Amino acid sequence: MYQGHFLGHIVRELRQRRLNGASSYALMAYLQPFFPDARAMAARYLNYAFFGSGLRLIGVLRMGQWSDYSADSEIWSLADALIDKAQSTWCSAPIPELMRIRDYGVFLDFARAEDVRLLVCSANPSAGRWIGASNARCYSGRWFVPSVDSGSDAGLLAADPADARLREALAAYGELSYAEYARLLAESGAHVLGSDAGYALVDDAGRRFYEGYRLHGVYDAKTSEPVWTARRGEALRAALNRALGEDLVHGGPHDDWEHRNNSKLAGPWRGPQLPLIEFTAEGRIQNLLSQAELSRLQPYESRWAELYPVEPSERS
Amino acid sequence: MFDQTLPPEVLAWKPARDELVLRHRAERVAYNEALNEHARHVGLPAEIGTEPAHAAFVNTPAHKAARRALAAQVAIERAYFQQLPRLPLATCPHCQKPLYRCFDPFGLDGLFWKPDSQPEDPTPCPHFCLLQGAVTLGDSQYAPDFDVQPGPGVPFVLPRLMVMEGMEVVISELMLAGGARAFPIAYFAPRRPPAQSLAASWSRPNLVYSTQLGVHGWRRSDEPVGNLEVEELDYELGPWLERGQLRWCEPGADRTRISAAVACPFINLPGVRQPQQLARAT
Repeated sequence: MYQGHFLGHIVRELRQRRLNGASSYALMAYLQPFFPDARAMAARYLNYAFFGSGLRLIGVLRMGQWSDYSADSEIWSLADALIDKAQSTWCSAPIPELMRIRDYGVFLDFARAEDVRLLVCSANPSAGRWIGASNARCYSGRWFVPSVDSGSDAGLLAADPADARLREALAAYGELSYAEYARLLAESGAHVLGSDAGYALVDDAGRRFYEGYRLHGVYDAKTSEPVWTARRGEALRAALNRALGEDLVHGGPHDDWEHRNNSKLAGPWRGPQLPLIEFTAEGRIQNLLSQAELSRLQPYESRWAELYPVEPSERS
Repeated sequence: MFDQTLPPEVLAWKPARDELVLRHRAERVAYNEALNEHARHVGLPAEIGTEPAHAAFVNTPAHKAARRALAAQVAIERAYFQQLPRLPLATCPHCQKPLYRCFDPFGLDGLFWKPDSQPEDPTPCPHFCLLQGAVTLGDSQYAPDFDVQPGPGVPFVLPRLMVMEGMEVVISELMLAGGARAFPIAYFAPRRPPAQSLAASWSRPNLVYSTQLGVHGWRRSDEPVGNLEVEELDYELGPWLERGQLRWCEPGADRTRISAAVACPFINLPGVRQPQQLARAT
């Protein structure tokens, strides 16, 4: 039985391969070992990677068996043209990922064991290799620090003042100056090194930091009520951290965070934090890419105005 | 060196406690190694199978080993928290009833000090509001498997709480094995303020609350409340003593009596006047 998951690392791989010149035929061949008896599933994956929703690519790739379409079939050139036409869209379309592949199973097992729907914010997949390393530790501070996307430091935190994400964050904190930001970080035991060290964030012992996971929402699978209560919240966090093998979750769900709508305190974390991944007790994994999608989802549909009063829902 | 007020049955637990901590560490390492081995076998999957019925399900010996190690950690934590001493850490100034709380006096490497631990404390008197604390680390050298937030190095109060009606704070002292000096700081009031107006407990990074109206929320211990710019910690205890809001249990006693002395031994102690963090050792 296939699950119908669309996982971020596969979507990223498909997009990168296309950028490197792989044809839709080659992309389908890449997916074939995952779905040896279900070509339609592979077609759906490809459609998701390049078009998100809808059936545009599926209509071209058609249903049928793997043996139905040889490399010289006309469907491939049609699919290639369709994908290229949408390149500007899919190149910039966000796709949520986790830091490690093993964490998908952990979140799914947790959702099933606790009978909850769990929504987790996207994290940098490059950070996974640092988890548990002796020269790095998980950042648990209050202030946003960008995670490096590429290069030898990929997955580690650095406060480069030229980083657009940091500039936006400082503005969101109410035009916080970089010097004050660095001072606040230092006050919490995280020090920003100089430009020659890539503005790396280090602790008192010189260890680098990687990000943790931010939970977005945790709701009862049946009632859709929040489960992060005084009685249960921290016990759930302990169970998650135990299963993750490391303390990677430092707070409660974003939806229950007292300051989620307070610009000055939340800074870049004000409002809903997309993209994110939903894990359900039935084993479903669903990417949520837009505010419209999230606000349509139960349990958000009925309480959007209460959770995020200044954020437009799908209907507004 | 142990705290001299610890009863013999608590002291007798130390070897078992140390073994539980060591076993927990070993099982956590085994769990991570096994899960990484399983992840290597799975590679880059297009779907995640968690049950045999799923096409993507991969059941490796490493996965079974990981599950065993995870279950072992749960069992060890259960045993640890069941056996964790319930110690008197303060005495209520309103009803004179000692405040018993779960506490690991044998060092900051105990699971009690893990930021997300949730020991089951005995029911306190109705005046009890909150337990915070400070730890003078001194030359102690603990090697916890997790980051520890033991609080500042010297006693302090939260002025925000002290202005609440009838609020009094009781400071006491407890020596930790390994050389650190712990200061429980307990808040009591005739009527307990709403949960959301309190603060995170000792060594816990978050206040998670459920209001009487059934609203659930949380905030970090270092985040301000309401219109405040910052959550202020006041280390100048003298003024609170003068206002009659600061009480204490005599150092070296068993913390079951409020001191009748005039001079408070916890004022102007030397030490770190800001929240400390002890990073995980490995």
